[in-house]
Amino acid sequence: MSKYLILCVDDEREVLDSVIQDLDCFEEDFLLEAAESVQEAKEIIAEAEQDEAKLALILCDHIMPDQTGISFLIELNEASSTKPTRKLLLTGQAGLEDTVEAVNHSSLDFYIAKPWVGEELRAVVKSQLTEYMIENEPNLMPWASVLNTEKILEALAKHRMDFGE
Amino acid sequence: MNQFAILCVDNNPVSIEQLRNELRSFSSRFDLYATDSIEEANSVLEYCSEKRQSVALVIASHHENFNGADFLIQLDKMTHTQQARKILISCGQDIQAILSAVNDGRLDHCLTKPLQDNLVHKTVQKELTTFILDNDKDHLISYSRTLDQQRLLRAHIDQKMRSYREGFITDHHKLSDRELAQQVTDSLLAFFADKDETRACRRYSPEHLLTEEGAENRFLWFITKGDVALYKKDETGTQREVVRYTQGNIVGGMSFVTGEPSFSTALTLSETEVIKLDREVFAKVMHSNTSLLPLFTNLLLRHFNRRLQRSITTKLELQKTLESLESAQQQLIEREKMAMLGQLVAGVAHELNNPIAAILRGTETLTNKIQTLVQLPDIETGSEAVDVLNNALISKPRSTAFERELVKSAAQKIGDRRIAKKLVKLGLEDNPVWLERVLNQDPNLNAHLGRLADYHVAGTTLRSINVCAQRIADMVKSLKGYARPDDERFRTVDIHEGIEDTLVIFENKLKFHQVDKRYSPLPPIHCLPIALQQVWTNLVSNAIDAFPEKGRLIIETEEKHQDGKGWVVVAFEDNGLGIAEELQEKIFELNFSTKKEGNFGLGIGLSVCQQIIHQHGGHITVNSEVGQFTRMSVWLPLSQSQ
Repeated sequence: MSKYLILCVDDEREVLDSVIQDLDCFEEDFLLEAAESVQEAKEIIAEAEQDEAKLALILCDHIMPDQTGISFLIELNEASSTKPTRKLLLTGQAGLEDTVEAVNHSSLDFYIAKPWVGEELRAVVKSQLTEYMIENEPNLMPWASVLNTEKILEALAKHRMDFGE
Repeated sequence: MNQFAILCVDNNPVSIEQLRNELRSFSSRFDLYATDSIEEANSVLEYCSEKRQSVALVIASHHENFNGADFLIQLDKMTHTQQARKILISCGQDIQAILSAVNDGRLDHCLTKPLQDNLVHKTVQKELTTFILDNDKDHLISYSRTLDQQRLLRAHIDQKMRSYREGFITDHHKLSDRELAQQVTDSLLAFFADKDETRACRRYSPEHLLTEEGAENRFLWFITKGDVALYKKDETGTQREVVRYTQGNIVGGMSFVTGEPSFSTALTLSETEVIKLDREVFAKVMHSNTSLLPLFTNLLLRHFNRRLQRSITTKLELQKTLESLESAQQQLIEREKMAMLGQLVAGVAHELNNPIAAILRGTETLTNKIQTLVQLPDIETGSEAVDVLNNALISKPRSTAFERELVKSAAQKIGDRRIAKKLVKLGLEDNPVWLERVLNQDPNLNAHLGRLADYHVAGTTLRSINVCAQRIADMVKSLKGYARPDDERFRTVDIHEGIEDTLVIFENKLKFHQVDKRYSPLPPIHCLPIALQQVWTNLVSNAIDAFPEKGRLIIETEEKHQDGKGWVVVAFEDNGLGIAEELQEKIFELNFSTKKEGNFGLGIGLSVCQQIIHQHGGHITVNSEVGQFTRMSVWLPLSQSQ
């Protein structure tokens, strides 16, 4: 089973901690990392690449010093290694203009408004990860028990049929 | 029968006859009664009273056997004879009788016998004239042939003159302005109808100049038709229309009366007909018709009074306008405050979202953790659990980057990254007992670590909730600071507090930029803290708007001495686009704004700031270089703090 990274970025420690806490359940099967700034996030991503861990999903705040979340997501979308990464924005304050820009750069897969509900956040992350795996992971079987089982089995069946043809 | 009567009483028939003769000339206007006894005289008086004939004069003789004096005295007691003139003809011996007639009967004249020729006539004429002057004022002239013509005429003239003078002003009260003007112009037109040597009646084409402001003027114009506008130059030299005159109005009145240069410029607007008079012609006209002078005087008085009334009304209106302008400005300032507040609230509402999200997430986490801790069968953790909980409650979390380093090195040591991560979280990565347990592959390790991690999460979550609630409290406090009552009082405070509160509000926007605080220790300042917070808010907001991509805001406070006074100077310097020198004066004007609509406030922020700072006896200065920086310095006097 390949190594996958889930990265959360928020400059506010309390918010960051609660996101990590909410996603605690993914720790079993994913590398779950927290970054307090975009710069730190970039370092983590670079390190993960060295360790041959892929960034499966990033959950990013919008308003942060140095760089906004959306501009960071756009940047990630332009790098080949992080292009497939599922990109989620977790914010209460992205303006319409910024959001539209991110959507148009196909850099935004999901937008979660603050304050969020833990169960919903986990559901979104799970479904995004499922889609990511279906698209990027050749060996889907081990993920069936971890992620959305039904969808993964469906995808596996489809794969088989594709090969069958 | 005449209105008035003359009564003669004498018991001497010869004397009666003499009197009758002598008084005959008065009989055309006065009925003459001559009696030779007191009784008869009394009956004459009764007769006159019945006929409503007034007795104008009584002549009574007085001597030993005939008491004329008493008769005269009794006249003064009766109403219809009270006004009568009383003449006593005495033989000159009974002084006492004469005196009592004078004292008790208000005797008017006393003649003593022997009577000189014509003396009675002369005396009677004098007395009757006096009587008529008092009792028949309206017909004085009609007595001029019988009585003292000179006195009557003089009295008549005096009377006429008096009524002329008395009625000079009041007689015209009934007339409207228009009627009065019509009467004057009619009289003038009548005067010039026959002969108009000076061409007083004339017609002007439009735009004919009648008077010119500041120039000599000898003429008076009565407008009989058309329109004339009066202009006056204001201090910038612009002609301003003062009033518009039409039929019945006067032009040139002021300079005509005072001899001063013209007060205004008068210009015909349409074809205009006037009567133009110079002083000489004016005098001639007035001489020709005495009733014209009071009319004209009234017209002129009214002309000036209307002008005065108009200017008073104008002044009142101006005052009202001024007041409404002031209240409009007050409202504008209020609206600026509200607009600013609205935007601040929106920003803060956004900003509140983060701590609120963290608190909401925290309570859910905590609920789960507590359930786990309470429900699961107890795992022996001893005092360590309490330590972990307490430690998590009070210690600030280590940075994620540092923690990651710790996890990395611990993972290398013990080989299991997940256990390493848990140890680091708990701060046990260097604890020899735990490291030992890890290396010995203690079967209870995971369960114990998990339980401790639950305690740890409970602690950090509680701490985080506390931190977030504190942040919300801070933001609410700084927002509350803007809710200024209109009658905010001066208080003595540390102005840094207000500045810090303002920065909390802008935390969100300042996140991308650098804030460099250079505070000096300052004595407490006597000020309106909330009003000043509005100033700081405007200045910080302006700085943020001016910021380049990487902004830097320097906030510097210091104590300075200038002009023999102590000041506190609060400076806000941004590294933004700067303000061109020619605009630096203008930025404080009410209607000056470089910002687009939808920006912070209404764009009158600096003007309001200036007002607030002036209220403190301070001032604000600008120092700027285009493309480099803008430094706004607020100077507040220290002297007020005592």
